[in-house]
Amino acid sequence: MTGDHEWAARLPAPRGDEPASLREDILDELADHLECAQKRERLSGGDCSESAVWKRVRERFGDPAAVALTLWRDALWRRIIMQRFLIGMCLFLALACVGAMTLSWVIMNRQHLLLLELQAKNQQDLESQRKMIADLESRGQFREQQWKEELAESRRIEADARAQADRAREAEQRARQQAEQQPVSDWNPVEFLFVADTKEGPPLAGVKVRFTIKAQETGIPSLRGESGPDGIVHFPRVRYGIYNLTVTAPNLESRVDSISLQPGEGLKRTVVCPTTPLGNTAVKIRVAWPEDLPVNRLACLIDASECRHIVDTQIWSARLNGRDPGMDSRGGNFSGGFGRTPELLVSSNESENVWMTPSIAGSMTGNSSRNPLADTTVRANFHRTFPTRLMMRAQQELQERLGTFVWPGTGFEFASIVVIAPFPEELAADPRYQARPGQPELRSVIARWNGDQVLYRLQPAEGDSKTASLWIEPQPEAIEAVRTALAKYDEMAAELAPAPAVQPEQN
Amino acid sequence: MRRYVLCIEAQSIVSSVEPFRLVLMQSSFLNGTVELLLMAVIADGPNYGYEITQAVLARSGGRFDLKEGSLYPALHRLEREKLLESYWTEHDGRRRKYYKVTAVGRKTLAARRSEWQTFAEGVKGVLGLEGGPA
Repeated sequence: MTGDHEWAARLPAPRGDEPASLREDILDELADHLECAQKRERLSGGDCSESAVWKRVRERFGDPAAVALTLWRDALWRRIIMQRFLIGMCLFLALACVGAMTLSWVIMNRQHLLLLELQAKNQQDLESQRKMIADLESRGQFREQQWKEELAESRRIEADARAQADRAREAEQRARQQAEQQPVSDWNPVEFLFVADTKEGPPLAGVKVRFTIKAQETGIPSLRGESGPDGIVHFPRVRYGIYNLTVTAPNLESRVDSISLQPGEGLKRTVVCPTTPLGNTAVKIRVAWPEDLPVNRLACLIDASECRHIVDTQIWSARLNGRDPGMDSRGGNFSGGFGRTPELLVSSNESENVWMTPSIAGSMTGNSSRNPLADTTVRANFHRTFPTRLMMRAQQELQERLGTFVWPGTGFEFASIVVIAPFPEELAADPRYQARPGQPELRSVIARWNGDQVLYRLQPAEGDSKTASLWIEPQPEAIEAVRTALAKYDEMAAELAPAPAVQPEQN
Repeated sequence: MRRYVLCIEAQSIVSSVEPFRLVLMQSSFLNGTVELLLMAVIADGPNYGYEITQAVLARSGGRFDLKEGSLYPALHRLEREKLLESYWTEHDGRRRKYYKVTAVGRKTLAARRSEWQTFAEGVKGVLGLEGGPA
């Protein structure tokens, strides 16, 4: 008994991939061996019972079932391992595929969300761009309409200008042709017709003319003449060039014009002259200050070199000293010999009305190192007079000097008026600003009045008085300017004033 | 006389005389010794499992008594390595499997024989036994 049926049953269940003869071959081979071993044991002479024989065979052989199982496993080992490997690989690949699909799904989902967001954003941008484009188109249409209108207007203006230029060019050509038809000469006649007061006025005799070429070293002397009863001054031969025409009316008012003479062209001009005789009366100049201003602190510094007189829109000038302008550029009435015409200081106290020279004031204005009020809102300039260099006139003499006036004074004005105030006492106490011996006090300019801000009113002498009055009436804006400037001036003076010294206590 | 039982699975030679299974040698040079013995027996002619065990026992002078059950895994391994091939015959109504050495097996057997001879001569020479190197 080989027992093959007994131990063969202990083999594992047949596998699908197991070769058909594998199990049978193993069992037959082992069974053959065990049969041979049993025969050997029966012939060995020991206990011949089946159980004893089988026991000895198993002792030498070992467990046949275990051997069969080992053989079966060895035969199928590669297949089992390969199968497990394939299963593992399949599982791994399946898991990898699932993971990859999951990852792909997540990525695609995110991309889809991003795509949706991008599409929404693009849609918003598109809508905003459409709105912007529509807005721009509407603006563009409006501006285009404006441009068209402006273009049409500019074209019309351009056409008008072109037509005007064409007319001017034609006129110039005609004039040039006419001039070419006439003999060209460098020397041509010049004639002035002087009339009284208006263009339709009668010829005016006694008008003095000086016609001076501006160019230097021409050797051409000034032409002088005086109108006769026909009011004409005729110069038969005058060379082309730029001339100064100085006209002095019989009442000593004068004006200067610049005239250009072209080659081959003569000149005829009518000049309206004033005829009102200048008064030769003693005049007091007064400023009509309002009552609320501290007039005792204020004074007016007047450029009294000349007064202006407007005749037929032309400005004529009259020298207050009655001299012919241009004949003497110096003041002439002062012993100091300064090269400037005089100014007149008019204060509320008539006794202080004095002549002074502005040249000194001008030089002191530039001395900012000594001017603590310089470079401020109100330009406060120094005016220091020098009596040692000037021959100060008494009031009577002053009035005599003011004896020539345009009477009754229509269109009369001074060249300029500035308002000055005394130098602050606090600063004047400073040795740096104290006047030298014999010098008047310092004064500062706080306002300037032009011709539009001032009215001039001449009041004739009345009764036994031989002295007329010239009232300077500042307009409200001029008064307000003085009031504001004075307040600022006081404010600045207070800021610059030195602190009061502390008095020591007395025991 | 000392008798050895060849334990093919452990690739080692153990003593059956000692009261316990003493591992005598387990070094790399003994690896495949049992296969070498099996191939040497089969090389003399086709043989089947039981007869192979008897031949090893006889040719070793009764010194190498193979554990019979452990013979077959070694034979099957050599067959898978193409060093042996087998065929079946009918004997007394039973199927019997015969093994014979292939051409590759013969070449391998010759090489292993040469190696073993060289090794054995070296060992004998060191131990001062007869048959050592001249």
